[in-house]
Order: sequence, then C-alpha cells, then structure tokens
Amino acid sequence: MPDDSRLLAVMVIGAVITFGLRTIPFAAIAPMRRSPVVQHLSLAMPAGVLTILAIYFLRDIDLTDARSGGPQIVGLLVAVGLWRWRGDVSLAIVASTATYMLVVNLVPGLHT
Amino acid sequence: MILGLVNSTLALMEMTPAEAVRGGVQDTLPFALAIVAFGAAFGLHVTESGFAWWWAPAFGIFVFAGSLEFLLVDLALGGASLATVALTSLLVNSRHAFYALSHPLHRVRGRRARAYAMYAMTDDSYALTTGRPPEDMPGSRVLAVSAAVQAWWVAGGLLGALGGAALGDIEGAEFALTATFVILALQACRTAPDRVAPIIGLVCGLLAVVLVPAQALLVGSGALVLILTLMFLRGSTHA
Repeated sequence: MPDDSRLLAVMVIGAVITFGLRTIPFAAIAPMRRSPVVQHLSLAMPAGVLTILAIYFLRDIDLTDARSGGPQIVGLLVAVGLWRWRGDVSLAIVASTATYMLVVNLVPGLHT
Repeated sequence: MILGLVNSTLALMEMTPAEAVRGGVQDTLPFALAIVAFGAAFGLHVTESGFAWWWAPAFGIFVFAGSLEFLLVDLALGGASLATVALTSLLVNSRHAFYALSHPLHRVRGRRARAYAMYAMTDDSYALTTGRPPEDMPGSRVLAVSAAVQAWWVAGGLLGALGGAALGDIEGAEFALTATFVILALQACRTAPDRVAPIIGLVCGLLAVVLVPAQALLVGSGALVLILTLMFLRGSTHA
C-alpha cells in the first residue's frame, strides 16, 4: 500500500539536499571568483566536464553486439558527420535521433 | 581606441531580452523529445508504483533531478530509512557541486532569478549554457534554457502519469540525450583554450566509467577539478 506521507518526506529530503548541492558551491566560490585558479577552472572545465558527460552517455554502447550497438553507431555517425559538415548542433541532434528511432523501430529484430 | 570602439559596438549588438528568451527555448528544442520521453517514463513509474498522478509533476517541480527522482520513488516504496534517502540524494547529485566553477550564473541578474537558475541547474542546463561567450549566452538566455528544460521535464511527467503505458515508452527518443552531450562536448573541445582539459576529461571519464560505474560523473568531474587545479598551481609557481 503506497504511503503518501512517506513519499512526501522522501520528496522533501531529496529536494532540500539537491537544492543545497546546487546553491552552496556557488556561495562557496563567490569570494574566490577573481582568484586566478577559479578563473582558470571556469575557462578550462567546460570542455573537460562535457567530455566526461559524453563518455557517461556512451558507456552502454555494446560494440560486440551489432543489434544493440549498431543503431547507436549509425546515429552517432550521422550526428558527428552533420555537425562537422553543417556546423549546426540542432540539425545534428534532430537528424541523428530521427535516424536512430527509424532504425530501432523499423529494422526487424531490433525492436525490444 | 579601436578596441574600445569594437567593444562598444559589440555591446550595442547585444541581444534583447526577448531574443535571449527565444534563443534559450530554441537551445532546448532539439532534445526536448528526449526530455519529454524520459519524463514520461518517470510519470509512468510513479503511477505504476501506486501513487497518484500529481506526484509526477510535484517531483518535477520541487526536486527536478532526473534519475534521482526514480530512485526516490523506489526508496519510498521500499521503506528505506530517511537517512538512506538523504545519503542517496547526496551521492547522486554531488556532481552538481563541480558545475558551479564553470556555470555562467554570474551573468544572471536579480536575486530571485539567480536563486531559480541555481535551483534548476541540471546536467542539461549546465551543458547547454557553459563555455559560451557572454554576448551569445547572456543571463536571460541562461534562465530561459533552465526554465524550458524544466517545463519539458514536468510536461513529460504529466504525459506519462496521465497517458499511461501508451505514452510512457517512446522507443529511441532517449538517443537525443546521447547525441546532445556528444555534440556539445565536441563543440566545447573545438572552442577550448587548449587540448589539456579535454584530454584529462577523456582519461578521467573512461577510468571512472570502468572503475566506479555507479559514481562515474561525481568521481570523474572531481578528479578533473583536482588535476586541473594542481597543474595550474604547479605551473604558476614555476613561472
């Protein structure tokens, strides 16, 4: 039997901690905003963090299994190819996702 | 003199608030379908767990933290202690602490607007706004990106909770998240000041995914901050 008061307590704790994790670091670095090391990190970090996020989203690609890995490789080739060719982020995302969805839903044996 | 002229011309060309808001919403459009699909899966998870539909938008509005929201519902259902809930929330979202170092929050004007931008800082809004020049990503556009991402997420939750299984599983839409983060990473590497941070990020990311899969983002970005800081401090004492 689901318990609403329990879920409310869980939601409030999750919300407070998440909010704290998103706000306290900003307050902590505010006085150091002009320090050389924070200035350096603010410029150097984006490319590094985005690389880590990209690897994180790529982690489940199974290169040994053509049925699960294949559509993702095709989608990524379309994404990177379009981005390099046209330099348009939106186009690359939309076209590669459409390609991926078509491959997964239309090629027999791939639909899970 | 000439530089001053160029700077003031640039200031004149700064986008209007309306343009910034439109631009911010447009930034989120390409992967809106992925956010809506992920949100719908969450909405479905809420109702399939036996809770009322309105819990889905409530979580999207008050917690607004994709994967943690799934875990919170499971923890509530499984009767986990509130200490476990707190620890899980801390572990899953600690990575956000490192985003503060390179999030363009300082461009957002006004106390309430700033509070909202912090509250709504997710992987998605961080990735779409970080590392872009101020004339391209002013504070109002940062706010618009955050609000649009949250609106897509809440809408998805409502769809999944009310529409049920028919809408809760759009096969393949989740690929937009992968494509977005890969393209944004390539874009950021192209405009990065040098190749150092991308290479360290690559090594930290790969090691973290292999060695600590459950905490890969936290450990990977923590290691990145540590290494970049140490390298900078060493470099500045040598110079």
